[in-house]
Amino acid sequence: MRNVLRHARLLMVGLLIALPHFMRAEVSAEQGKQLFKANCARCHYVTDKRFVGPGLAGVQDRWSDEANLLAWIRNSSDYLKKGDSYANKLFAEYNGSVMPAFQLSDDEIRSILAYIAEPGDEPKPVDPSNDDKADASGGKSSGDNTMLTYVLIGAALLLLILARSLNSVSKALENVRREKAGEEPIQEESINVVGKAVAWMARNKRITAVIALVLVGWVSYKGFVALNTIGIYEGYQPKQPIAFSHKLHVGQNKIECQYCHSTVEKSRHANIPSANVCMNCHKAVQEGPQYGKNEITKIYAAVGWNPEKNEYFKDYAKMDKEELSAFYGSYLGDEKAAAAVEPFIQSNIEWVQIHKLPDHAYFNHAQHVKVGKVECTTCHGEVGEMEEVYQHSPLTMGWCINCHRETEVQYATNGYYERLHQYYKEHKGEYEMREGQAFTVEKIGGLECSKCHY
Amino acid sequence: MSNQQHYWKGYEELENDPGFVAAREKEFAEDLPMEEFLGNEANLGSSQTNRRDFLKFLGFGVTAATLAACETPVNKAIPYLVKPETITPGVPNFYASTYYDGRDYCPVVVKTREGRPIKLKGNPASALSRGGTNARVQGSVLGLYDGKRAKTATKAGKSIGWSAADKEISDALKAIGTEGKKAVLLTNTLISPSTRAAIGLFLNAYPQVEHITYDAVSYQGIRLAHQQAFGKGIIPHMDFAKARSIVSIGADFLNGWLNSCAYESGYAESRAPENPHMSRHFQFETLMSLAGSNADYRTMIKASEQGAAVVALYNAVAEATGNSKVAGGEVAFAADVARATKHLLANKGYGLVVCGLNDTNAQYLVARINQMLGNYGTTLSLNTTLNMFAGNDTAALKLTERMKSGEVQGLFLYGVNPGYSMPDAQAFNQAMTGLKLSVSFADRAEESPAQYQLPDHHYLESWNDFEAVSGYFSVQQPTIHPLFDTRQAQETFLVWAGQAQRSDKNNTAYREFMKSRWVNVLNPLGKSWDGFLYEGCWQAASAVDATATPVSPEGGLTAAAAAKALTVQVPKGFEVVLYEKVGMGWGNHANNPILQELPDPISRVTWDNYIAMAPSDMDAMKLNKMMGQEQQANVVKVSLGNRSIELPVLAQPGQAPGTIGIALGYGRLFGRAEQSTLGANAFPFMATQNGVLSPIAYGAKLDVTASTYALAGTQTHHTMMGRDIIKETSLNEFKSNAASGNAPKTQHTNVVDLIPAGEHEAPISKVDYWREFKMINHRWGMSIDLNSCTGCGACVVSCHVENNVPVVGKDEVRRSRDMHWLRIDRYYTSDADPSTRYERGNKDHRAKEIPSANPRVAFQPVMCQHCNHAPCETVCPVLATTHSTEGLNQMTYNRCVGTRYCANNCPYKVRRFNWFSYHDNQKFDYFMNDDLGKMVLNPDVTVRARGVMEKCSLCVQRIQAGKLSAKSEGRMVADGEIQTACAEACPTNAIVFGDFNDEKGKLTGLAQHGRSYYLLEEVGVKPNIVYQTKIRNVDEAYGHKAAAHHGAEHEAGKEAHSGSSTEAHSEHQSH
Repeated sequence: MRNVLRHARLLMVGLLIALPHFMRAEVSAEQGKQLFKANCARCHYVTDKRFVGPGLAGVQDRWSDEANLLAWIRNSSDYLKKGDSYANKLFAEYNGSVMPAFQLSDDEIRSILAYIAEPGDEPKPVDPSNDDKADASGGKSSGDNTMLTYVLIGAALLLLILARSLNSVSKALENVRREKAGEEPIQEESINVVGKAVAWMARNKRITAVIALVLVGWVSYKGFVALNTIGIYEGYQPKQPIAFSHKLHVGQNKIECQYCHSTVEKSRHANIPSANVCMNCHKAVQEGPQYGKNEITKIYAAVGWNPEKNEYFKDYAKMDKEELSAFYGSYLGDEKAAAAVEPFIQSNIEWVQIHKLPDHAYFNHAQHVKVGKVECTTCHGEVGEMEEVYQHSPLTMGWCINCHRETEVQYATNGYYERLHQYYKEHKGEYEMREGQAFTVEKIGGLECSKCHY
Repeated sequence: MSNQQHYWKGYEELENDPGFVAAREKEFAEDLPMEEFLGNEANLGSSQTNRRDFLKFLGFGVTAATLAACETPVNKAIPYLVKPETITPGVPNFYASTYYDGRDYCPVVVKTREGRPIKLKGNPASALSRGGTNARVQGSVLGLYDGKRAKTATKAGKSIGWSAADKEISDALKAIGTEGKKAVLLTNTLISPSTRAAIGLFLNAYPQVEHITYDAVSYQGIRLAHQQAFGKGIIPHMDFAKARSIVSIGADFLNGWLNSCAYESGYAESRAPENPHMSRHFQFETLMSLAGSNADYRTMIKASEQGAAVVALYNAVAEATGNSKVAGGEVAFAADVARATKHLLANKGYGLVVCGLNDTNAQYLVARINQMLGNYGTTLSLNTTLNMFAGNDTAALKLTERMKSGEVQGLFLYGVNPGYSMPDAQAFNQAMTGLKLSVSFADRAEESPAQYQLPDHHYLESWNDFEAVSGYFSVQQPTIHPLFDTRQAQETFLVWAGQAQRSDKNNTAYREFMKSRWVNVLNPLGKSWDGFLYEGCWQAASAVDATATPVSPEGGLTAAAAAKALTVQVPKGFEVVLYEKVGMGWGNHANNPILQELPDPISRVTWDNYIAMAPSDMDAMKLNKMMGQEQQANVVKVSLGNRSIELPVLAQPGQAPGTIGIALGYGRLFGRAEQSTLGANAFPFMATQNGVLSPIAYGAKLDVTASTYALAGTQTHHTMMGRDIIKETSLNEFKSNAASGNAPKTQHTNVVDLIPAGEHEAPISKVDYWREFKMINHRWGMSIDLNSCTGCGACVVSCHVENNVPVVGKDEVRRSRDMHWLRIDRYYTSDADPSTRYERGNKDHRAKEIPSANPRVAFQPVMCQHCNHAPCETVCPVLATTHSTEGLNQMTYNRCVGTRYCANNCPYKVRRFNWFSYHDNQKFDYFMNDDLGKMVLNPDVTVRARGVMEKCSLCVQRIQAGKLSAKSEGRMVADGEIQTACAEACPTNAIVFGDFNDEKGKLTGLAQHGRSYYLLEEVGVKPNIVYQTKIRNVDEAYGHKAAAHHGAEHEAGKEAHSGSSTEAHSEHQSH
């Protein structure tokens, strides 16, 4: 199911991209869109909504002279010195915060303005509760095929019933014919399928034996494969309390993994970011493209942010819960969304853990990311394409071991391996370091039990 | 190895008790008692389970297991809302703090994970303890997670709010004041300047409150004696590191006597044989103490002779230094005293004479001896003083009377439990119940019946500062948010004094009070408060040590008078000596299962106290000297006046005949889990002598009762089957030959020198059945110096806490199922004729009974030896135990199926089997099976399940962490950067962990030293743990040279062998 949905989404994205769009020789809104995202989107919306800076819809109308506008955009603090009254008014309105200077050509700025003038389709907020995700308890790997299996079994049953009824219809018709012809009606036994089959089997013992053998073999194989998936949660995609989109944050906004999962280079754990990290951006970004305010407000409810006054509530833990519930309800203006936010008020955000190793296996992120320079995506897959994260790798021991067999150790660049490096330089061609052989993790004991089990 | 030494672990081995002989043949002492766990035997007999039912159950079981496995468990991952900057999940934080409980003082570094303290190590910044700890300190982290701690303020057992309690108590205090009566604040010795200041404010606000200091075990005699001798009522600071000649008369300065936690490191330093002046230690004592077992010369004397011993030593020293002798001091062991005197005189100014008697007269003479020898100013200091143990026994003992008479109407107990530790605790408790106001700050319900219980924080939740020795400061800071609704007592004092408002339970009121005091001290010196918190310790400019000048106050004590007072007749009957065990101390940790299960270093008994008695006395009383699974100890009733207790009797070699020893700290009834209320309280036998408390009582009567009692000892487990594994030699022999006493064993019955190797024969060390294997990067190993090891047990507890080792309880210890990864073997040795040594077929050792009365003792920590040719690895059918490229013998729990072949094949008997799921079984209600106790578990170490083997991993989690930090920083692992839990805890640095491949590393240096040898080298398993020969500073030769009369071939053989063995080990480095 997930795959189907994913494909559907990919298709939609593809269609969106493929839509015919505004083109000009040097000034392209498409280029402008990219530039806007890279330079402006941190502080401005293309709509008339206020953000860190003013909403940019209709900006060209507000500036009479394009040259002034270009100068203002390129270097606002310089422009302010000119004494433009409108610019100074803006400056005062936004509490004297200066827009940084940009290294942009006039055409590039024009492209941005072109994009602002025709921003195209902005994604509309979506209600996450309509999303028919597998719920937290489901979603094991075999679950993907369950529905298909049921459909097939159902179809087979239907066909069987159909065959059975057609058979009896034909039998009845035959009896009618025989009756008319004065013949004897068909004997029940002679059309008994089971009886016939048994009789057939008794006659063709060898073929029966072969079929039986094949059947037993197939069932055993299938059973074995099924049993092998026990405890493997590849594809596990539980529903999370907040519809946080990695696709949006990582894929589109290009936020580094380590920005949120900051301990990944220091600790065995790649932490789930604490809510104060979310607030670094979401103090300003109060609405998302998909769910609007609904999901972001959950964070506010947890940490105690007042989005109307843009400040934290004082003594949040001691505030009345009813009051807060009413406050966030009125802020959202949507009963259903307010109800979803309710459990987060003054409480923790209980994410559902996706990647879990058994207790007897020790895994250290710092070892792999900092020392081994393994990319996050190697194990976690293309998270930037995942709307909601699922377990990309099987996380089985065989999978770990395979990687240890294949991954080469960067021993020449890390002083820790000096002794090893020296040894192998002096003993070229010896035993584990034959010419042309890769120096893999396996060679430094990466397959030994106590590297992971203690 | 000595040919004339015989080592034995107990009477069972010495006398070849049949039960012992049968038991030692088996690694696992007993078959699994299935019926006990299958329930009622009668039911079991009548029930019918036939084959069909069995198959049904099997089928159902498999299905259920399969179905259960199919369900995806939902795990929550809950991040911080606002992550504290300093906490990184998965990375430990370390905070400097200090342990002090009135008994032990130890600056520590606390390891916390995600805000939970999980491990302690000594703070190396401390000039007192020098990074050392002891077993009690190591175990104290578990006390934080003790479910028996009081959860909130209570009145008569019912919860009362803190503010209500404050009001009621201050009202009651005022009422006492207006009536003109008194209230008493009874505390242990307060060595915290800020606490004293806070209490001072409280006392100022309530003049009706009188402060009395009381220590359960008193050292007041030393203070009184120094008052008489030097005009200063102090306990001098002692520096054992500077001592070259140590004479102790009944003082166990390695465990229990004064600030013993800090003495160990200095003592070990003085005893390094490489040191130009290795100290010589003479011990005159009654029971086998830890210090006595480490002594070079141990003289077994009765408790009543200790006074005479002091007088005899005084006379001998006085005579030699030209002072006048005093009357008395005629002793049967004059030769031993003369030997000690001679050595003391030869090391004038570098001697140290200490005495365990809490008696002004004895301590006066000892002070004079030290002064005559010029020891003040070097090993002893009159200006730098020990602030601990400032109790006033007279005032404390009078308290009962004063409470009864109605003069004292209120009582506050802080850090003391007189209802348990007073000699007449019953009378005290009775008097206490009649009081108008009684308040206890104890962290749990205690024997003393206080109306109000205002539980204090655990020390890991508290702020405090300490000055254990004048000028040496250390700080205590909280490492966890308080677990329960408790308040630190100091804050309560401040609130009562009107100097502060109740803060939240984080105790900010007292912190601010303390901080402002320290800022005033530190800032003018250019130091900061934060710096003090970071370091944990701060040493003020030290006082100048002057040589002592005696004063003779008018009408004061004289040596003659003191000697006269010491020579008094004692009543007939047994002499009772009360002592402290390494695990229990005064009983502050009675509910700590790890410390309860720690085997006593000498007797190897766990969980109980007992009567230690001389074997000859036991023979006379026809008591059972054996201890073992099938052996029950006789229970004897000890009566002294109108007080009596019943305890089992244990044969203790080295115990002076006519005396018995009983450990304090047992038999606590309150605030304990049921299984921790073992033993009997021996405090009632605490005597009063000249107004001070003395742990020696005379005239006890012993009555054998009909009952018997099973003690749980680890003594006869894991015996080495008569193999000589301890090697020792004398200092003189060591000096002429560093490898003296270190010859490889060739006499073992199972070993032949040459074995077939291909077409030829070769020495066993040259033959490999294994493919040669190179350890290029690391070869981890450890060195254990038997000379530095005092047997204190800190490493055992440290290992226990670090590696999530379960506590199994007394019953299981009796079944030889203790789980300690690291054990300390204790061997008694006595000189014997080599022809009677243990061999197969020669089992008569009865001739050695007489020398065993006062045996020498040797300790040997044994853990997995990480053999390069490990016998366990070859027998595992599932490859659960394998060897790593770094020399570790790895144990993979999740692969183990529990055949236990490995344990049977281990020559060192270091493997432990999980007979139960200790972490999850109500039968083992210690700490691992409740949520609170689980908080102490190390998250980096697997909690083992039932049915798997485990053993020392060489703290592989620490190795991996150390390697990772080196890799992250792109450098090689520095020597000493990685420390195993045992090495970290060792106060004497006997255990050194390192990398044999690090040519400049400390371990490599140690391994190449002549003192180094490998355990059971003759079996050819090539261990990675190296031991250092024990050196005794004795005049007598061990006769290693005498052994050479077998001919040069023996010597040559030895050399060849040791040469080849180093070669064998260096193979791993050179290829």
